[in-house]
Amino acid sequence: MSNTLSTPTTAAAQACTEEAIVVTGMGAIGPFGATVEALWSALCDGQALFVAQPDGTQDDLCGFLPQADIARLAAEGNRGERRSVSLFAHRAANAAIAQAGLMHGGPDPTDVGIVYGTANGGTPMNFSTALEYAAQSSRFELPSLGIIDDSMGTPAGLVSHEHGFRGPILNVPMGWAAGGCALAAACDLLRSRVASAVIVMAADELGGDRPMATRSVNRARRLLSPNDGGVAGVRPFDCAANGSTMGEGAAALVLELRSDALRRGCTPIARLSGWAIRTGIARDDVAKYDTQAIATAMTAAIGSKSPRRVGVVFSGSHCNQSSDRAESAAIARVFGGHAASTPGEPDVDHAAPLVTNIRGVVGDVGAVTGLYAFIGAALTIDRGVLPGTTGCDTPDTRHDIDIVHRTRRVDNVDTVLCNAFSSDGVYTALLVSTEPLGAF
Amino acid sequence: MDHVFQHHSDPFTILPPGAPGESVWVTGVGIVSSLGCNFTDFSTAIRAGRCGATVASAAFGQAMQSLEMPVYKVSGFDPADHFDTDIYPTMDPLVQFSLVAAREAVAMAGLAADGVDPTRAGICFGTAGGATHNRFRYGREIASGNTPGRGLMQDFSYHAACTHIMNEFGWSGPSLTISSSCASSSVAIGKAYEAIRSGQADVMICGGAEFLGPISMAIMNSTRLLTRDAMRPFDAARTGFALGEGAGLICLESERHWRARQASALCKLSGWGMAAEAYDTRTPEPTGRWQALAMTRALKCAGVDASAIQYINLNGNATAHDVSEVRAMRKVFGEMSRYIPTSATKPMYGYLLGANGAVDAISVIAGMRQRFMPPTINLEKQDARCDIDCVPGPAAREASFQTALSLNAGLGGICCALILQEPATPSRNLP
Repeated sequence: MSNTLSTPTTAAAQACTEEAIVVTGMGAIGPFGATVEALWSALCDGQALFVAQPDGTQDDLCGFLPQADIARLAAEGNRGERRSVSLFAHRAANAAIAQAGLMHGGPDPTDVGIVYGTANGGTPMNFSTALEYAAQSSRFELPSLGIIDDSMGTPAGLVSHEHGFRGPILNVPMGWAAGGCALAAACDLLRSRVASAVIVMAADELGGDRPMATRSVNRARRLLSPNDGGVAGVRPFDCAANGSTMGEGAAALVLELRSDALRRGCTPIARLSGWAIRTGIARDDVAKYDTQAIATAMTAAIGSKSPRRVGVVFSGSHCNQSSDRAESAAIARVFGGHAASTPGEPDVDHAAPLVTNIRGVVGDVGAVTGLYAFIGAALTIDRGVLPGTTGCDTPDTRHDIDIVHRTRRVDNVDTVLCNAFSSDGVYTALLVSTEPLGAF
Repeated sequence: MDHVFQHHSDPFTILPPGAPGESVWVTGVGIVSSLGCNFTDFSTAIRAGRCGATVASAAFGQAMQSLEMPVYKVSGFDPADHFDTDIYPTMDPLVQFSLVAAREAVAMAGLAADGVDPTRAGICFGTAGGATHNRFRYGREIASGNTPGRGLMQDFSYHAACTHIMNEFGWSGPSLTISSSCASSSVAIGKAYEAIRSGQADVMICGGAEFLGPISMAIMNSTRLLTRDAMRPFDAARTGFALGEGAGLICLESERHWRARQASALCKLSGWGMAAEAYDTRTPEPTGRWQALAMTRALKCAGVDASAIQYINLNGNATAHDVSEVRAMRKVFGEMSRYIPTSATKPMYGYLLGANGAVDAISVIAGMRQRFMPPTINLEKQDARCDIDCVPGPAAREASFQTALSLNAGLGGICCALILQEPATPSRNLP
């Protein structure tokens, strides 16, 4: 056995830890630009970022990235053949890794894991066309191997190859809940000490008018607004809420155990102090939401902490009537209603948290919205400013929650809950809190 | 072997409910494959060294008339036996396979509806391609200028199988789909292990499924990794792998939970380990050192010394990858790697992409429970670089083992290993 790698002989070698998990890096790219600051400015400005399809093939508005930006990303590193989703994820991940200083005195790269969440990955090829081509080929082959080289796992593979990260890689295609699922799965990897740092990425693309694009399916599922309000067509918790608009982009976070981050001199940005994934009764062909499951996920993420600590909820609602109703009822169930508070007035001591939804600005960017909201939550605590709910001009009074309409100061908020869920029964909740300076 | 179970000798006193550090056990398995659609038929077939292959042109008809290559299509499966006639025509075959396998696993575990807290029961499911058939049918409707029916939108998403299985059992705990290429279901089993070990769940269904349709054939055939010959892992004349379809689902349960309901377990899932090669999209890293890292991580997680491993089930996809796997074994087991019985079982049921890890693990469990080592069939002349005891067929080796390692790897260099162990004391009369 002289040539063998050493292995310990006790199961205690890989004990679970209850140590705090912290965020040490963040990256984002979308219609707002290619930085976290650009995302934050867009959320605080409250202007919808929806534009017409660049090639004019469809008449609805979406959160497209400028085509020039995509070309520039493709030119970087000679990635011209890559799908947009890979380019977006790679860019956001590299920004997060740089901010975390992960490549300079960071953890052993063989212990760094990657969890990649996406609603649909790269927009697949048109299967019918591909099959016709294969049938005409003498060997039943496709014209290119692009679908292999740009498969579901490619964005994580690109980052792993570039930086030599050899920890676990999990690709999590969990619909619009995928961002929240990816964060929760990453926390589990850290808690189990399966990885010493995890890059969490989420990316989705619009895919133009290809029939396999998620947009066509989501339109059929009636998740998308018929666009009757133009750029203001997404109206979370509004009387006229009738669906969302899709966007594209990516976001990334670096998560580490607090002691590991501090050991290498890295000051955490925020703490991820609770997370949960729960499942509700669902159907795959129509959107259906489960109030009890949303409430259970939120309660599990809050854990043993007092719900009164939660000052703000970043809503995960898809901005249609049933989604808004289910989530607002769940928030009221967990925190109590807002009847005792004065709407529109700063009142962070009140038990019911303030509620905001960012989809009126960025739309539903598949898996990414959950991470955009998480970044927004971390910056809300950091900067004492809460982005408003763009599009909620005539609030639906049936929602017994304290919706924040316009961006405002919230100086005393130190804990924020972020919801992200899919339309088919997967609900996630994440608790973001500040790191007291004493911890450093 | 005495050291293996000593740290959990008194399971009733070691942990409060839901506490981190739970030990994780397999209490049921379910399978749908070319070798049969239940565990009994499957284990009988692999013990006999049966091959479930048919010819692609026979399986797919006119579309693949020129393809004289083996494929492994599920046989003996009629959806009408399992689902209402108004549901299954638009249900993706992957979901059908998964539901039937999950039902068998839960039934074998003896989990009654009131025998589990639904908020502490969940699923972790692996698939490389997801519900490709419904996506294909949906796209074909649009390409033809038709509006696809609502039925085709069910099962469109990757996590459709999770949705159906959670609905079927009324569970509301964690639900996660993982698509990490051909290692997907191994990773899913590992992630489910963590959910129980950390105290988040009492019961997890895990594993994976894949459906083999024309589009999967076209994609994988384009890689030129598919063989026209029989699939021959470790053979000097090997020419690649043959695709298959099916589902393998495993019911994992904490020891505290199955003992409390006075059930028994098939075996223990002692640990898992994963590593990424960060080398190339399609080519395996030739030295095998990152596969070795996955194996050592699994051994470390399990608290098992390399010398305790008595049987290994390798990925064995009959490509250049075989050699890198043997090199990885040498790095972990040293000179012993030549003598540890090591088989590749995919020539019997096919290369199942995302379902590989789960079905391999089930074949290990079958051998462990029924005292045989699954064979490597189709081996004629062993590659000198693969100097291992590869349990050559035609049938299984009648021998018992208590501690086994299963290794899988996928395109992009994702490697995942599982450690399975038989309990020291006999359990109830499970298969």
